[in-house]
Amino acid sequence: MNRQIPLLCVEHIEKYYGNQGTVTKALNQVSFRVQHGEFVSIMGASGSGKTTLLNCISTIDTVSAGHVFLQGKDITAISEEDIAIFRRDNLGFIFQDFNLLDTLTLEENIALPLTIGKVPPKEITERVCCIAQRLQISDTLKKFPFQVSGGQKQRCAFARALICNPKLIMADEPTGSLDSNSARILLQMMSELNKETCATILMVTHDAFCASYADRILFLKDGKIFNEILKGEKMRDIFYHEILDVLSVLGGDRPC
Amino acid sequence: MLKKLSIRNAKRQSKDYLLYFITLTCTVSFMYAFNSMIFSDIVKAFPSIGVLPCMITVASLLIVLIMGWMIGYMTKYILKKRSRELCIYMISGIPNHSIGRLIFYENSLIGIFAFVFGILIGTLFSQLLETIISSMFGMAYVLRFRFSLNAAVLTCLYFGAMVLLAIRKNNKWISRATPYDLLYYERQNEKRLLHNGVSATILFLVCVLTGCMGIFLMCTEPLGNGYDVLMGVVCLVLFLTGFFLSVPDFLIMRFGNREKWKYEKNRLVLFRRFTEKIRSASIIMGILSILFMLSLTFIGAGTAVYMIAEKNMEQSVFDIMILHKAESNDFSAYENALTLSFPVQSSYAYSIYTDNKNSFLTVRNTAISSTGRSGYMSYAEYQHDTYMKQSDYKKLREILGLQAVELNPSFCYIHCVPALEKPFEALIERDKDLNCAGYLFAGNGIFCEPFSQMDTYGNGLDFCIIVPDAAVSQMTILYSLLSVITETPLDNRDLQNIVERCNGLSMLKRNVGKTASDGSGITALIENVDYLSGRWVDKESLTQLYAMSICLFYLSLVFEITGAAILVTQILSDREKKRQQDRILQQLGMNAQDIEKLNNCQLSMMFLLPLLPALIISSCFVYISAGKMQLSAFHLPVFSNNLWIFGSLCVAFVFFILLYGIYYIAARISYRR
Repeated sequence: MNRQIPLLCVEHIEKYYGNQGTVTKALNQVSFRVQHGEFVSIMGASGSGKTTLLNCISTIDTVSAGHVFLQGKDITAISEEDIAIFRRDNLGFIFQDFNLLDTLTLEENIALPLTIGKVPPKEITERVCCIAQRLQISDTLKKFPFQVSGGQKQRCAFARALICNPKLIMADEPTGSLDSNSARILLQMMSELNKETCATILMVTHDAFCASYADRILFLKDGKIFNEILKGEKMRDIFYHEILDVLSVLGGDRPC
Repeated sequence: MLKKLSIRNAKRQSKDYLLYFITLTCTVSFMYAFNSMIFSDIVKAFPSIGVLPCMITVASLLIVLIMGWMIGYMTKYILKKRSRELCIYMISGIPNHSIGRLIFYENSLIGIFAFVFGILIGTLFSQLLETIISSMFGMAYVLRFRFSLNAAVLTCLYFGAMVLLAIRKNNKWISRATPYDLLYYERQNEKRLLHNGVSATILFLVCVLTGCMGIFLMCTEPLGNGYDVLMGVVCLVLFLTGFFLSVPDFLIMRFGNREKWKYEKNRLVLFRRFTEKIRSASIIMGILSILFMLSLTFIGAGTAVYMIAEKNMEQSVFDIMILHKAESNDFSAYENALTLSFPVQSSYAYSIYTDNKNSFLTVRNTAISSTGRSGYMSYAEYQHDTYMKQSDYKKLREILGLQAVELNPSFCYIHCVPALEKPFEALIERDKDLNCAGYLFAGNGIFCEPFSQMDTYGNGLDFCIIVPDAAVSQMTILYSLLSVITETPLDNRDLQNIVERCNGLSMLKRNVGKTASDGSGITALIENVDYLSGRWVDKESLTQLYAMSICLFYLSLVFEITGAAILVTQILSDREKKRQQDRILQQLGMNAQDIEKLNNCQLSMMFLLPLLPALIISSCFVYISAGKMQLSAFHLPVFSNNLWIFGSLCVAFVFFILLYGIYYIAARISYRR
């Protein structure tokens, strides 16, 4: 793996919504880079463009201008036919509302991306067992989403995002539907896996506590990057207070 | 305000549940069309189908019950899908009874539109139906657009009863509902009747066993006393009821843990979605299957009835036959009257003879007995073999347009129904000296074309021995006949005209008989009376069969569209959930074509599942009922094999699939949107 080339390179992206009468500029000349193995968080108030940015990077939405490169490949130029394969091979997703399929068990939800990728059934079973053990959901594998807690559901979603070993894991408010204990367990696991496996994580959140687990935080305001802070060697609680300070300057949602 | 909201909601609903609305409209149009037959001049012109209006009324009442349930179910289903919206009304301060009134206005509005459109379409459909009935009874039909107020009022009564029944039921539900119930209604899982996979598997196996036993009992009738058929029906109903309760859990038990199977070829999502859907709607799936089974059975049986009636007609080759007991008299008065009534193509008068021999009659009776029917001949005229002169036979073949045959005046021949060809061949082969007035039987001298022999008082009953003209000098004349071929089909009015114009002529009623003066059996003939029979008189006697066929078709049509509409609404109501699942699959890297394939596959499976058991059971019912009907309709098998039953099954299936296919295509288009 060439560590000199950034994994993700976002260059001057813009995103407009609406029609000729009313145009909303959701993203305005946003540029940043993410290195391999980095855990980056994007913060901002409601309507600042966090989720739009994540959607543009994850190919769920298209950009109005600018480019997004993943390992040097311009993902804004990928055709509609190839986009699904690109997502399957390169990206992993975690959403606030879990996005698990209710009709599948947790085991099957985790296995789903592998079945789409035509991985042999035996290998699927082994990989699911391995990741479930790592995320401590082995006991609940045979259960359906409605039979488990929110924390277990989100760990299942995380396992599903990790199972294909994607280059980039994208999380949109992953703790938004969780209680504080479940949120802490999940973030701890994300952080550990980031360090152990060098998984690159890009997380959107408006929660300072959640963001404090990241290595670097980008602050968005009105569609522009307003600030950027690095954790470095700082303790997490110190970093947390640093985030709160930036947020107070930013003037958006101020967590309790 | 409420009325404004009702109009808006009704408008929105008609978009969401367009197929339901179309089904309501179709039901109204069918009801109107069939009801208009009750008041139709064409039907009134056929006194013999006086039973048709009664049959239509009974069928309509049955439809009111089924459709009343269907409208109730669908309205409640739609309301449950709108439970959050109703909750918002409730917490906005609208009292329950007002919400009930709102729903009443909405449904009334949809009902009124469905009724108006239904009547309009029904007017066209009634013309089509009149054309079919006219052609069935050989009547010339002139296209005319006529609106029957009586039929519209009757349809309005039926439809009103169905809608009010449904609305009343739903209003009860709304009046008892609380905001909490409505808010969390969609989150509630449907109640599962079976919680244990093992019990589901046992139930599934028991169901399959019951189904097999039902089919076995019905097809083989081991007891032969009717109880086996009854037990068979009970077994099949039990099979249908239990099948859908147990099949999803059985499938999960069987395939859910087989990683190798489920992780391949995108089966995982399809398998789980499918089992979840049928598990959550197992009871309704069972009901759908029963509706489809009834629909297929009715149309299959209706087709079989129609085929039997047509076969009967096919055997009666002369349009008019005038029968005179004993020796031939002068038929010229009748010929003149007939020529004045309608164009006559050809006519011929001749006699049927008998003697004291009954070699062929014995073989015929044995052949009948071997098919499980009674070979006993109760008619006085058919206690011995019947004969016809060669010259008469040749002339009759000629006017019928049958292939000309060379008859050797030194030999006898036989014309019989196809079922007797082989037994008679065997008899002639066995008894080389068999003769008639000293004339031997010719080799290959058996003819089997339709020859008005299937019923009494035709050219013999089932057979007639064709003898050289000289051979009849020692025989007795049974009766004389004037056989006529007309250029146009005749209807009841023509036949009545003939009877009125000819003194001493009356319609032949085969089922009204008296004991013959010599005590040899019963006879339908009285001295000094001539009788009118033939193809069109026979058709008159078959009108009840045709009427039954029409009613079965009516019921089948309504049952099918009812079932299909419920199925489509069930499937389409989950569109939002499906869209969300599609989005997740897309995010996980499944390409759009695979997702569409998956959805289409699921849709096809949902359409196939209730149909398969229905198809098996209805095939069984149609097979049994067609066989029984054939037994009672003909004393000898007229169909060379059972392929005609498969033919009626195929007709039923093709018709069913055509209509079902329309719903499938509509669902597929809506599902893709």
